[in-house]
Amino acid sequence: MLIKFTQHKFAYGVLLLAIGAFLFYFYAVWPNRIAQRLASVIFVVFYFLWGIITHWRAHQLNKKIFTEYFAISLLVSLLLLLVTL
Amino acid sequence: MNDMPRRRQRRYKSAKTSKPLGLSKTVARLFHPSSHNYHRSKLLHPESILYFCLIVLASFALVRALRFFPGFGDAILGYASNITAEDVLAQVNQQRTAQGLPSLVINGKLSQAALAKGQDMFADQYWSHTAPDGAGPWDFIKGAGYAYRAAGENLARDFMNTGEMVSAWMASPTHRENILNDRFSEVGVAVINGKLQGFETTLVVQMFGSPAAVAVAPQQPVAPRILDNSAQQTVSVTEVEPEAQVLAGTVLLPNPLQNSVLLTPLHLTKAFFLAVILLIVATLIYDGFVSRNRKVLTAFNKNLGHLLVFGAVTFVLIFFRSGLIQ
Repeated sequence: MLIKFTQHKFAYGVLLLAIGAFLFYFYAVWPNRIAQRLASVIFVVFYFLWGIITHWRAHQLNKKIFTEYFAISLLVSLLLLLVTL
Repeated sequence: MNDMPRRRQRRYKSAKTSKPLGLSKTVARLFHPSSHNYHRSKLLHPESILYFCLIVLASFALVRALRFFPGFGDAILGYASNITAEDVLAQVNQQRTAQGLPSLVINGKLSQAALAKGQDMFADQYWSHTAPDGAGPWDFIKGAGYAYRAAGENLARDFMNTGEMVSAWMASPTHRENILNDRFSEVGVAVINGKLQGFETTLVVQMFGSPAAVAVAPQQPVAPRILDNSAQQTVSVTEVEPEAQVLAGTVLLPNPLQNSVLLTPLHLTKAFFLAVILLIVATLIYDGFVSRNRKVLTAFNKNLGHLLVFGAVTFVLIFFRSGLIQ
């Protein structure tokens, strides 16, 4: 896993940056639940696109990868949206 | 059977004779990547993740449905908060003093208005500045006999302690404006426990006001102003309150829920969600570990990305703070 991380520094760097920005914003806007939900949706869409683009760049994009990222993004969005309800 | 094409007959026969998998094999295929599951733990297949989505939705619905089974719900769910009216007043005044503003004084009529508002919210089961019958905060203030030049209202629910609640108010521009408004000199606070929309909670109603008693010269009417989240109104009134009545005591209420703490609905929801994440994260780590040892060829590792995202969601769930303000 560490080898993969060093091989795709830029992609993981972007993801880490996005996670950091999401967490910062999520707590900065507290107690505004609507802003938290909006941040969650933007973050999930970003992750889905990040997964698709990085696999496309690695020439590894196929239907299975697409559905896996879709399913994971759906699960993450459900977890974040339901907890802020 | 004889009319079936040969191909279909063969399939039917093999399906009939295949033995069901044992428990250990089923569990192994769920977690252990092998040729049987395309070298990826079955739990990480998209269809399994979609099942997890259904589990998450079902667990959330289950927690929400507990309100319809009071006996069962009360045995599991509980609520406790250590918020007191004195603490609310002290911490609000602390915020005002820090900004160089005079402290607010408790007014009995405003506290009675706050209490009436809280009781009305429990009675009519709503969570808003405006009651279903259209009554606003000003109607409760006037109903308590408080004549004001300016008045405002802050609401809060589901907070465990006063510090977090006041922090939430201060983080919201409109509520902050009420707390740090130099036109307000008096306040009434009601802390009420009860069942709102099926769940036990603590409602805090804070009514701000400046008495009309100090009005000496006739004033020009000022247009009412209502802010988005916190309610605030400035009006001109002709009624003058005697000073002795304005300086009445505070309304303090008993806190009957303090001994009944078990799990709040939010705790239970978080526990279900964290269990799902824990299972997926453990499978992701195991799957990544086995794949690495077998040197399965992958140009890009999906597991690490998923792990980072689930790590962020875990952080959000663990540190997510309860409480709503209005």
